[in-house]
Amino acid sequence: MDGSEAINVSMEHDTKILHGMAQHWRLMLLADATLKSLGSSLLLVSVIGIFFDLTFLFLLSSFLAFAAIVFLALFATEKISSVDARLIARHLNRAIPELEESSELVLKTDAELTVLERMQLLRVEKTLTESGEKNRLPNHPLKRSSIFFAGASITSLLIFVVIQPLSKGMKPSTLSKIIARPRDSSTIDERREPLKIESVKVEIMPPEYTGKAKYLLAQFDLSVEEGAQLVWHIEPNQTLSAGALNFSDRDTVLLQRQSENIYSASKKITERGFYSLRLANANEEIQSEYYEINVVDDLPPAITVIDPPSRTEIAPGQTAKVNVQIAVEDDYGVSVTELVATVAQGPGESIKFREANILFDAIVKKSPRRWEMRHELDLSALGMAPGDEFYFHIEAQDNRRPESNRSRSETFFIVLKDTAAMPLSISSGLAINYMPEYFRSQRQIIIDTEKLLVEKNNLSDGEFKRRSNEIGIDQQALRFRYGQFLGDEFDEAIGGEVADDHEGEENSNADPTSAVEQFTHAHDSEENATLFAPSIKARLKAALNEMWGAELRLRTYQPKEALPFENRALNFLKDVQQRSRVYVQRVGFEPSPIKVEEKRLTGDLSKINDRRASKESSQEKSFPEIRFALHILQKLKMNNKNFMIDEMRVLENAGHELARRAIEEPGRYLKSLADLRKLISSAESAQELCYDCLLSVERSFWQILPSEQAMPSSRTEAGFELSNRYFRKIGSRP
Amino acid sequence: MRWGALVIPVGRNHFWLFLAIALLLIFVLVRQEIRRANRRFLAARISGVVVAVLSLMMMAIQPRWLVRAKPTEALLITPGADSQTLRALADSINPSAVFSFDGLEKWKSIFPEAQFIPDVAYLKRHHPEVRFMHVIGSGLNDYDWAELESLSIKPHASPLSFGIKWLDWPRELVAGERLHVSGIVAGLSGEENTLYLADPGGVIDSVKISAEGDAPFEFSTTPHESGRFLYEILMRSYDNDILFREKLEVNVVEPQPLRILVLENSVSFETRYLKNWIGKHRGKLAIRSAISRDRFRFEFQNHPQVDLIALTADLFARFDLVVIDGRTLSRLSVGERKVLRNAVEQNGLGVLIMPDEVALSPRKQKFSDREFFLNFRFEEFPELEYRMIRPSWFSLHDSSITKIPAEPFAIQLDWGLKPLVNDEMERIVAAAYRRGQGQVGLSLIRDSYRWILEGNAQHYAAYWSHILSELARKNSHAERWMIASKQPSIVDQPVQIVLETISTQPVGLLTTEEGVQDSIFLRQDIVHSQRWFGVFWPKVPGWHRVATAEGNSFWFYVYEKTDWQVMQQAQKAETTRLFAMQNHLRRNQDDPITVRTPEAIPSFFFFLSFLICAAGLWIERKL
Repeated sequence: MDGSEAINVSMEHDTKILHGMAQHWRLMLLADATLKSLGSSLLLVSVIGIFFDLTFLFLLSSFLAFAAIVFLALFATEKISSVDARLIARHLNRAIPELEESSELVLKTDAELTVLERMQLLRVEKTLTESGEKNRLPNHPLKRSSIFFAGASITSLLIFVVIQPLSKGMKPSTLSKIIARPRDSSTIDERREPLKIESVKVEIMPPEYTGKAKYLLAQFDLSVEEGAQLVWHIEPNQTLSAGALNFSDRDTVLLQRQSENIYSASKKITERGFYSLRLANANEEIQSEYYEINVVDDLPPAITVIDPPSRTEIAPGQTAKVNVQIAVEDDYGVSVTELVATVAQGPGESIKFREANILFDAIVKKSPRRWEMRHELDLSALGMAPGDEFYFHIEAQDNRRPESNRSRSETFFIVLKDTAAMPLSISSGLAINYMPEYFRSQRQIIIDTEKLLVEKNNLSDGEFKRRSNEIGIDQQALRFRYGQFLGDEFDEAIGGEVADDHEGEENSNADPTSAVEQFTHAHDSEENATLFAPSIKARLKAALNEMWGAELRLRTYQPKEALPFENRALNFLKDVQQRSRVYVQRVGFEPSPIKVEEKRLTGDLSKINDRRASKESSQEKSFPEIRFALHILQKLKMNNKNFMIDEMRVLENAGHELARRAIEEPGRYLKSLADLRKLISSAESAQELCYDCLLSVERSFWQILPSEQAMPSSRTEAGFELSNRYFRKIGSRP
Repeated sequence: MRWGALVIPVGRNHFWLFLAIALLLIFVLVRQEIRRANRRFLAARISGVVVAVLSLMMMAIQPRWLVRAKPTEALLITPGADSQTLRALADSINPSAVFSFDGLEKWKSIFPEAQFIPDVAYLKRHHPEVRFMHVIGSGLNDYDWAELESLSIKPHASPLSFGIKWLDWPRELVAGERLHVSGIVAGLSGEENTLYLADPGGVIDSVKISAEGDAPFEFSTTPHESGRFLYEILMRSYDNDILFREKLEVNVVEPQPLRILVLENSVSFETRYLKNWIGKHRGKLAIRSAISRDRFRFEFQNHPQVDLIALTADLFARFDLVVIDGRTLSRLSVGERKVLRNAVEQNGLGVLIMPDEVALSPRKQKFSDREFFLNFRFEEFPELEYRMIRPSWFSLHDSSITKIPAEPFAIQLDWGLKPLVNDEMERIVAAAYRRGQGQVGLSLIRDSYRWILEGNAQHYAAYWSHILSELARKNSHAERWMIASKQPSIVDQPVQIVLETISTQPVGLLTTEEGVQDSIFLRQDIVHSQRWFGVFWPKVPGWHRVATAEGNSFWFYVYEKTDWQVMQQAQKAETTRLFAMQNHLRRNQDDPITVRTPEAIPSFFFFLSFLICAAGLWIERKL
C-alpha cells in the first residue's frame, strides 16, 4: 500500500508537470498569435493611412478589427485549443530517448495500468524529473513573432512620422495632427450654434440741410434720404474674425469691432442699390440675403405762380405796375428765389434786350417748406415805354448741399401796348435783304432838321437857309436811292434843277449811284425793281412821296413844316424794313460754278459711276445671358437634375444682368437675385435644388425680357407634285 | 390554323411536325401489319392502327369547332360614369353581363355581378358573344372601338366634369408672332370664376367666367423669347382657390430670314426704313435704285455683292421676294420681264409691287406681260390726294394700330384675288394673285415708315412681316412635321404624326429630352405621294423631338395621364358617339353578323377511339 501510495503521489506530481507544460505552451502560442496579429494589423493600417485621409477613430477601430480577425485566424489554424498533456507527452517521447516512448503512461490512471506498465512508469517518472528544465519545449516561437512585432511597430511609426507628412506636405507631427484638420461646417459638432446675427441697428444721419434728426432702424431693408450717412451696428451671436458689407456699387465696407460683440460699418448713401453681409468666424462663413437700400431723392423746388397770368397786356394809360405773387415749395426748404426779367425795348431791328435779376421784396408767408412771396413790378421804373415787352421767369434753389437743386418756372409775358405802332402783316415773297444800311440817313435828316430848328434863333438868316437847303439836298439824294429800286420812275426833275444851281453838290449826286451799284447788278437793276411785291412798291412810293414833300419844304426854308413829312417817310421805310425781316437770307453750300455751256443737255453720264454700299448687320438681342439662362432653367425644371459647371457660369452671368436691373428696381428683382444666389450655391454644394427659387428666378428673367416684335419669316410648305402641277397650269392662264 | 369550322390552336409548323410524326408512325406500324405472315383481318388492323395514331395526335393538338354564339346584351362601365345615370339604367335594362373598366368597388352596390376587364382585347377574347352593349361614362378611345368593330353600342354619356374640354392654339410659333389661345371650359356651375393664362413670367391675361355649362375663352400674348416653354392655364374660384391648372406647350422658333431684292425707280424713304428693319432681323437684302439713266445705286444688306444690272434667272433664284415699283417694271426689257415671270410661275418667287403712277393707272401700262403683273382693278377716289386708313388683317390681333396714308384707290375683289390687308371700311388695300407657283401682290399703303417715326415700330413690324411672309417664296424643299390632332398629346395614347417631304423613304427618329430614341416608320398617303403618316405611342411625359436623320425637327410636348382630364373625357365621349352612329348605319345596311366562337372538341372521344383501336389490335393476337 505504501508503494502504491508513493506511486500515486509521484504520479500526481508528474501529471502536473505535463499539464503545466501544456499550459505554458498554450500561453506561448497565444502570445505569438497576438503579436503577429497586432504587428500585421499595424502595418496594414499605416499603409491605408498613407493613401486615404481618415480619422483617428476610424483608423483605431479598423486596426482593432483587423487584429481580431488575424488573431482568430491564427487561433484556428494553430490549434491552440488542441494542445494538451498528451501532445506534450508525445513530444517528450520524441525529444528524450530515455523515456522509451512511454511518457503517456504518466497520464493513465491506476486502474488502467498493468503491472508491466507500472514498472515502466517508475522509470519514466525518474527520467522525467531528471531531465529537468533543459529539454522542456521546442525552440521559442515567441522570439520570431516579437521580432516581427517590433519591426512592424518601427515601420508604421516611420510611415506616420516621415512618409505621410512628406506625401501630404504637412508639418511633421503625430497622428493627432491629421485629426485636428479644419473641417467644413457640416462636420462641426452639433453643440456649437451656427453663426447668426442677433440684432441689427442702423443709425441714419440725414444730411444737415434736411433739418432731420438722426434716427435708428432695426431692419436691413432701408429707405433713406439722399446723401445720408448710415452706420450699421451688428450684433452677431459669436465673435467674428472678419465681416463686411458688400454694396451693389462694388464697394465693400469692413466691419469694425466697436465693443463686446458689436460691429459697425459706415457708408454715405447717394444712390439706390442693395447690399449683403458677409460674416466669418473661425469655423464658418455666412453670407446674408440681399437687402434693399432705397434712396428718397431730394426733389427740386416746385414753383407756382399765382399771379399774373402767363400773358398780360397793359393798355396805354393804365398804370404800368404788375403784382407778382408766387409760392415755392420744397421737401427740405427753399434757399434762394429770384425773378429773372428780360426787357425788350425798341421795335424791329433796333430791339434791345436787358436782363435783370429782381429779388422779391415781400415774403407773405414763410414756413421752412413753403414760401409765399410777392413783388410789385414797376415797369415804368424799369424805363419801359409803350411797345416794349417784359418777360420773366422765377428761379428757385433749395438748400441741398453740396449742389442745390434748381428749378425754373414757365416764362411770363407782360406787354405794354403801343397803339401808335402799325400792325404788321406777313407778306410772301422775297428772300433778299434789299435794305441797305444807309436807310438810317432818313433818321439823320430828321435829327439834322430838329437840330436846325433848335439852333434857329442863334443863326443868321442866310446860314439857316443854307443849312435847310443842304438838308433838302440830302433828302433828294436819299429819294434818288430809293428811286433806283423803283426803276427810276421818279425823274430828277426837282433835284436836278437844284443840283444845277449848286454846282458844288455834283459829287453828292454821283455818289448815290455808285453806292447803289455796289449793291445791285447794273444789268438787272431795273428788272429787279419791277419785281418787287406791289405792297412794298406802294409803300416805297409813299415814302418817296413823303420825301419829296419834305425836300420841297426844306428847300423852301420851312424845316418845321418838313418835319412831319420826314417822319412819315421814316415810318414807311421802317415798315418796308419790318416786312422784309420776316425772311432770312439763305446760307449753305455753294457749289463751284459749272461750265453750263459744256455740260448742259449733253446727256453724258460717262463720268458718273454706280454707287455701291454693302453692310452686314446682325440682330443683337438684349440680355443674351438671361435668354440663355432661361433655357437652362427650362431644362432644369423638366428633369430636375443638377446643372453643369458651364451652365452655372451662364446663370452667374445672367445674375450680373439681373443685378443691373435690380439696382434700378430693387423692389421687383431683389428677391429673385437672392433666389438665384441660393440656387447657384445649392448647386455648388450638390444639394437638392430649391424649386421655388428656380420659379422665382425664371419669372424675373422672363419679365426682364421685352416682348418680341413681329419678324418676317419664310414659310415652309410641302411642294406637292400634284398641287405644283395645278398651280403651274392655272398660272399660265392669268 | 383553320379549316372551315375546324380550328387548330397550334401553329402551322407545329401542326406539320405532328402530322409528320404521325405519318411516320402509321407507315412503320402499317408495314409491320402487312409483313406479318398471318394476314387475318388485315384491313381492320390497318384501319385500327391509323385511327389509333390519329386519335393520339388529336389528343396532342386539341382541335376546336366554331359554333354559333348566342348574342347577348351587356353593360360596359367606363371611367367618368356617375352613379346616378347608372342606377337609372340599372332599373330600366337587364343586361346579361356587366363589365367595368373603372374598377369594381365603386359599382359593387349597383351591380354586384360586375366583372373587371383590364382592356378591350380581354373583352373581345373572353366574351365574343356580346353583341350589344350599353356604354356608360365617357366611353373608349377610337383605337379601342376599332377593335370592337362588330359590336353595336348605345352610349349613355355622363355630363362632363369641370375643366377645359376643347383648346385651339398653334403648336409652333415664329418669334414675334402673337400666341392666340382659345378654348371652351365645360362643366361650369354659373358661379363667377376667373381663368388665367400665365407664362414663365407670371399671369399675363385673365377672363372672368360666370356662365353655366360651357363657356368659350380667348387669350392672346406675345412670347418674350424663342424656345420651348410651358404656359399655364388655371382657374380660380371667387375665393381664390385653384379649381384646375393645366400646362400648355408653347414652342417658339426663330424666324427663317428672307432674301429680298428691291428694284426701284428712285431712292425712297420706304426702302431705306425697310432695309434697316430687315437688316436688323438678319434678313438678306439687295437694292437697286435708279439714280439716272442706266446709273444705279446698289445696296446690299447681309448679302454678298452681286451684279444687279442684268436681271437673270440665276439672280432671281437667289431671292424669295422681289419688291418693284410700277415704273421700274415698265422699264424692264421684254426679256427681263419674261425671266421674272418665269421665276414667279415656275419657281414660286414672290413679287410685291409698290404703288406709283404706272402701277395705279392702267392707261400708262403699255408693256408686255401687263396682265401677269398688274391685273388689279381699282376703285378710285379722284377727289383725294391720299386716304388715311386703319389697316387690318386676319392675323393682326392689335386693335391699337394707328392710321396710315394709302393711295386714293381701293382694290376690287376679283376672281382669284387674295386680299391681304383691308381698311376699316373692309375695302381691300393690299392683295395678291396666285401666278403659277408664286404670287404677285400690290399694297396701296404708302409711307409706312411713318409708324416708326410716330414711335409705333411694332405696327410697322406687324404690317411688313405679314406682307413679306405672305408673298415670299415658300420654303418647299424642306420637310414639314405636323401632328394630326389639334389637341394635347397624352402619355399612352397614340400621337398621329404627319410628315410632308419630297424624300422617298423617310424614317422618323423620335428623341425624348432624356435622349431616349425611338424610330417611327411612316406610311405613304395614297393620294399625296409626299405625305407620310406615322403613329407614336409616347411612354413618358415631356418634350419630344421628331426628325428625320438630316432634316428639320419638330418639338411637341406629351402630357401626363392626369393632365387635360376633361378634354380626354370629351374626346372619348365624342368618339363613342361617332362609333355608335356609324355602327347603327352599318347595321341597317347589312344582315346581322353571325358570331361564331371556337369550342374545344372533348379529348375524351379521341381517347376512347384510341383505346378501342389499341384494345382491338391487342385482342386480335390472342384470338
